[in-house]
This record gives sequence, C-alpha cells and structure tokens, in this order.
Amino acid sequence: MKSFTFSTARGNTYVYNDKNGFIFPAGQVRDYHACPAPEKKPEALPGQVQDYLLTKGYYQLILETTQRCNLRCRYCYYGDYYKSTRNHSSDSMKFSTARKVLDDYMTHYRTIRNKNPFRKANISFQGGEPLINYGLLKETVNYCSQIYGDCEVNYTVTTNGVLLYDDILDYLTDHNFGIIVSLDGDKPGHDRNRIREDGSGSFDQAFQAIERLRKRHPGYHRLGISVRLDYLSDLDALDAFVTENKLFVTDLSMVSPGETDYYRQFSPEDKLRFYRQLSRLREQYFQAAKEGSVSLHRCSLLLPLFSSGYEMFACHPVMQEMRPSFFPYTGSCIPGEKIFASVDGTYHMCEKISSHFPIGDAEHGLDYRKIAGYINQFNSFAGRCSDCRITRFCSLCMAQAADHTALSLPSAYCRDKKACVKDTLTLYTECLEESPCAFDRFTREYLEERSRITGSLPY
Amino acid sequence: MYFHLYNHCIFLTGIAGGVLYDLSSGEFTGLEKQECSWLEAAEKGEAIQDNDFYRELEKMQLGFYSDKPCYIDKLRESSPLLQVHRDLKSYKIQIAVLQLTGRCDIEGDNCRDYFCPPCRQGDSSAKDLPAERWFSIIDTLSDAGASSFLLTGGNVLLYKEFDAVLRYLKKKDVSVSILLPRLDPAHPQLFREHILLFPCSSRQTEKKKYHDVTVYCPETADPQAIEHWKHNGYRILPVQLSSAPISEASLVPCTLERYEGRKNGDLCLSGKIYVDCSGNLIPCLQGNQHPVGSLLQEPFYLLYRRLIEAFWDVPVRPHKKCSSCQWYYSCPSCRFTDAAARCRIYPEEREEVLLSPEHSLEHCAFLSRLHT
Repeated sequence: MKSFTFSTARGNTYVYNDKNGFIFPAGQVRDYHACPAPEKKPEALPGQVQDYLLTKGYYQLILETTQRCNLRCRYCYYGDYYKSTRNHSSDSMKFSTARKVLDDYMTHYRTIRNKNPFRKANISFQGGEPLINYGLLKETVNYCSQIYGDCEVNYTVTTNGVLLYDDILDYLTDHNFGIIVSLDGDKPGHDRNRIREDGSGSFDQAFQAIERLRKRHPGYHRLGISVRLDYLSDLDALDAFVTENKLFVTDLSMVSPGETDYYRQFSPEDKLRFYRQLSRLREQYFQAAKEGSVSLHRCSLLLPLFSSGYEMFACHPVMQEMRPSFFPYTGSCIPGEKIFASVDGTYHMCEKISSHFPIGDAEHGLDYRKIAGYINQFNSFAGRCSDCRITRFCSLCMAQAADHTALSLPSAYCRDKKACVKDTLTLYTECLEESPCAFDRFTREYLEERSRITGSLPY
Repeated sequence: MYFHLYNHCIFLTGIAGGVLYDLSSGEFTGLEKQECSWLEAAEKGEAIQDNDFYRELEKMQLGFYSDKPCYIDKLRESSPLLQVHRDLKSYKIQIAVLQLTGRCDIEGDNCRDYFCPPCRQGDSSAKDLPAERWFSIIDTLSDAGASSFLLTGGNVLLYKEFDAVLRYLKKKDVSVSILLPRLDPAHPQLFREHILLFPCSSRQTEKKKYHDVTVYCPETADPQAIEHWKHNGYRILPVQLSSAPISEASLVPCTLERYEGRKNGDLCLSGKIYVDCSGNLIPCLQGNQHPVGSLLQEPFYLLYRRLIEAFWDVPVRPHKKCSSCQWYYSCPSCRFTDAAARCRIYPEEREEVLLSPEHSLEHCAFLSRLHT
C-alpha cells in the first residue's frame, strides 16, 4: 500500500494513505475515493494546456520594470552567489513593451472573468528595484484605468523601501497598491545583508518609509514586509521587532539554497543556534494553538514561520485527482498561471526561475507548445513518483528543478521532503488529538490577509 | 475507553434529536436525544461507558473503539481552507437552459405545478426574442464554458426560428436537448419529454427517430397515463412535484458530494444557467420572479457574479427552522417552494427549540470547523 505509519507522543499510531490523502488510526485504514498517482503521466498537449490556462491561468502578471537596483543585497538572486540567473544590469522596461504585455494579459483576463466572475487581474511590479522606473509604473496604471476601466485590478509592488518618498507613497495608497517592503528585521538583522554598493545598510530609509506611510495614511491596510533568513538571523530579535512594530509578514523564507554556495559561510554552531531558536518558537506556536491564543497580531512571526506546516497538512489534495491528468505529480504550478514579464517582454514562469525557460513573449503571448514541453520534461524525470508515498504533499516546482538548461530532480529533495512530511504530520496530529480545530481559524485569517495584501495565490 | 466515528460519518444534532450521516454510502440514521448525548461525549474525546448504542454503531461500521482519544481526519472533498477564495473556486456551467418562448399550446393538470426538468408558461402575448439575440447569448455562454444546452419553453416547438437556433448550436461542440410538454388527451396529465438531440448516444428506440428520450411524469400521475407512455416505448422517470410534502420518506441519500454542496451553497441551482424568453438571467424557471439582470443590457460576468452570490453560494434555508434541522442535508427542499408549508417532519414552528443554542447545527464542537 502507498502509505506510511507514524506515532504520536500519546502512543497512537496512524497511517497516512497516499491513495486518497487521508490519515487513519492504525487498523482503520480505508481506500475509498482512492486515486493513486498513475505509473506514467499522459503527455501534455498544447491544446489541453491552452484550455486549462484559459480557465485557470493568467492569475498574476509580474512586470520587471527594471533590472537596475540601488542595493547589492548579499543574497540577491542576481548577485554572485547564483550562477544560473542573470546579473545586475541597467536595463529597464519601455512602456511600449509594458503596453503589449498588458494588452495580452488583460484580454485573456476578460475571457477568464466570464468563467469565474470573481477573478481580479493581479498586476505586480518588481525589479531590480521597481521604483527606479516609477514612471513606467504610473504609465501602466493610467493605461489600465483608461483602457481596462471595466476590470478590477489589484496592484502590488515589492520594494526595498529606499525610494518610497512621500509623493510615491501617496500615489501608491491612492491606487490601493499592496506595498511589500523587503525588511529583514531590526537594524542589525537587516543591515547585515541588505546593503548598498558601498556596503552601508538600508534599514533606516526602509523602516522610516514604513513609519511615514503609517503617519500619512493611518490604518492603510495593504502593507506588508518580506523577510529573508539565513543561519545568522536572530529569530528572537526578529520576533520581538515584528511584534513590537505590528508588522505583517507576507513572505518569510530562507535564502534559497538552490545552486549556490551561499551557505558555506556559516559554521555548524551558527546552524545549531538557529535551529534551537526555531525549535523553541515552534513549541511556542503549538502551545499557543492548543490554548487558542494565536492571533494575527499577537503572534506576528509565528504565523509566517509555521503556518506553512498546517497549510501543507490541511490543504493537500484529497480523494480523486481533480486536476487535469497531465498535471505534474508534484504541486508545481502550471507555467502561465503566473507570468513574469522581463524588461524585454519575454515571459517566464516566475521571478525565481532562470531565464533559460521562457514561456512566451509580449508579441506572441504564451507559447502553449513550449509550456506543454516543459510539463512533459518535468513529468519525465519524476517517473519514480508512482511509487512515492507522499505525492499529495510534494511541492517541488519547476523553478526548484531548473538549472542552466534542463529540469532535473534535485538530488536530496525526495529524501528531505519525506522526512519533513512525516515530521509535520506527526506534530500536527499530536496537537489535533487534543484540539481538532486548533489551527483552522487563524491559519485561514493569515492566508486571507496575506493574499489580500500581495494579490498572489494564497498557497 | 473511547469511541470514535469513522471519518466518513458526520453527526449532527438538531431539533429534538440528531442524525448520523454515512457519507460513503449516503445512508443516514436518526438518533434520539439520549443517543445524541452519548455520541456528543464520544466526539468530544471524552471517555465513555460502553453500551448497546456504541456496540450497534460499531456493528454498522460507523465507528470504532480505542483505548486513547485519537485524531479523526474527517472526510472532505476539499479543505475548508481552500474555500476562502472565490477566485480560486471552480465555477462550472453544467447546463445552460434557454427558454426560447413562453408560449404554450398545451394545458393540462399540473401545468402550473412545477416539476423538474422545467418548462414554464409565460405571457403568451409577449414577443419572442429574434434568433440573432439567442445566437449572441449562446456564444457568450459557450465561451463561459457551457457545453450542454437545454431548449425549453412554454412549448419550444412554437418558437418560429427554432430550426435556426438548432443549426447554430449544432455548429458548436456542445450537446443539445429539448424539453417538450406532452399531454395524452385520454389522460389529461402533463408529462415532459426530454430528448437528447446531439451528440447522438448509442441508445436508440425503434419507434422514435430521436436517439435518447426520457419522459418525466409526476409521481402522483395516474398509473394508466404512465402505462400509455410506457406502451410507446419510452423510458419513464417519476419526479416529485414542487408542492409535494416533505416527510422522512422523501429524504434523499446524503453522499459527500451532496453534503458539501448543501453546506456551501445551493446544490440544485449550482452549475445551471437559465435564460428566460426575455433574455433575463434567472436562477431557474421556478425562481423566474428573481432575475439577476438582462443579458441584453449588462455584461454576462456581472450577472454571473450576482447569480453566484445570490443563489449558488447561498445555502438553501427556505425557513428559519431549517437552520436547526438535522435532516437538512438529506432534505429535498427547494428554495423557491414553500418549504415551511410542505414540511411534515417539523410542521410547527418550534420557536423555543430554535432559540436554544444546544440544538443548533453548530453545537457539536468537533464539527465547528466544518460549518462557517
């Protein structure tokens, strides 16, 4: 059977059945509504991909307004640590390019809106530092409101905060932008990595921008911060900083380890200290969940740190596979659900994948044939998945699997993921044995709030 | 000693008792007040005193014993968390029903008595929409994902440009059926003939040129009338009238699909688009007094949104006592019929019960996460 067992501290033994995605007490396992991963995925055809994307795709458009940046963060994707992504450059997107991209996206959005009338168009501005090309941002918004005034558009911008002058703040809030400021914690924590070319930190300007926004627009509800961690991050200090300043963390993740030697700089002691802090905070989270004392405001860091665990537990697909059969075994999104348009108008799956996997361009739109090819390539290397006991939890995405030229399974991924899934199921089941409803309410609140600010898919 | 229901079993308390739904088989079991108390204690994870009731549940394969409280991963079609975002939900148009005309040349018993699938007589003096309008409506609905169309009326064959509409639909990759009111003069009882026109199915009756015909008749129809239609080789399907009383005998099996559908919205209306003979988008022909707007005047996506917000995503509680009724998930009530008058399970309005929180559907702590 495609399953594994795990035991909780209480002494109960459970079986996770990957055929239907449910957890059963040992001895009570059922196979109903079972749908195990097929041995061989059917080939994805361009027509099928197109049909799918014209119903569920075009969820978010990200415009790379410029590749210029006024910072040189040590862990930047476009810095020296990452070999397969582009380097820093001075290229910026022209409005003529942005217009073509917008026309393509919004035309398809209108089609999809007839199938799901609650769909909004989600347009995000990223960079480099997107506010360096602030003029393009304004032109884009004006163009949208003139030509696509019948469409509900949700704008967001991800910025390092250094250029958030008052007039820009006013403009962004007037147009109800989701504003996500990259802020890695208090001054020491932030300035350790988020520096200018001359090595000086950027905390003062970034944090002051947040304070000015709050003063000029009290109660503005679409403000969040994005945090990157590494083994020198002081989680306790970060927790205190975020809680004290009532900051909403929309995104919190480790500096990406993929294809980089960034983590060689840390000692085993650094790593141990970090994980001890994490472990202590995790205990705090579970204890608070059992007591019912978790809320968006009282636990500002705990939710972004640990809610993904419960998301994984509660949101994994169950019963029959509802997605089209050509979908990857893993939870990878389909290229075209999100579209990252780089400065020259080339379309990519997202902002994290290397530039060697384009999926279309502003002239011709999405290339469904190419997308089908990537899906088939992705499915072909994941051939072991039919035997896997955690297919419904797997979150391997194409960006994680991409190197310079091909999609391939990262070597330790399966082993690490299996260990993580078992650990997560055990932890959460232990808590749910005592309190079955412990996590639903606040996890839902956090996901809703996060999606409201960022405009992106909630999970 | 502890007792747990299996994950496919949903326990609800309601007015003067409770029910245990087996979502795997669709069967349900009514429970007395004392049985509800026992089961509530078990579901809360409290230690139990074994008795015949628990043993019976175990025998019926609805639950099991354990020596410690354990976690039960309740059967769910989709996680409650996945329902937070309407823009992620899959709204699909299962069928588009086009009332080409409100005119009818047939008058019979039960004509005004509604039963599904529907035709409904409208104002016979009203002008029908020209075919070009219907072509535009068909384009809009098929672009929105409708792959199945039902043409109805009044008597749909009275629509002058019927053939033109049929030809237009045939060019699209959709299935098309029509609904015809039928009356046998010897037995003045209205029947409805549902004929699948294309694509052709493999079933074929020798006596009819059409390939797939079903005749719907009220279940209270004269047996002789039913015999008449059977004699002609038709497949007969008896259906409930909208005025039929709702009793325990009329409760329907509750599978997971029905449970999720009733919990989150209107299972009957969801997925169906009705366009009346004036071009209004309506929830259904029985609810034609509640149009959400005119397709001739407003964009489809706006009307579609209103339809979903006002009807599809709104659980059916035709009467306030329905919020406390444990039979809700098996009840065949329709939001446009007078469920209060039809209900024979709880015919009186028991205000004192409605006000009592322990009889609300939200009482059971274990189930609180399943009810928003």
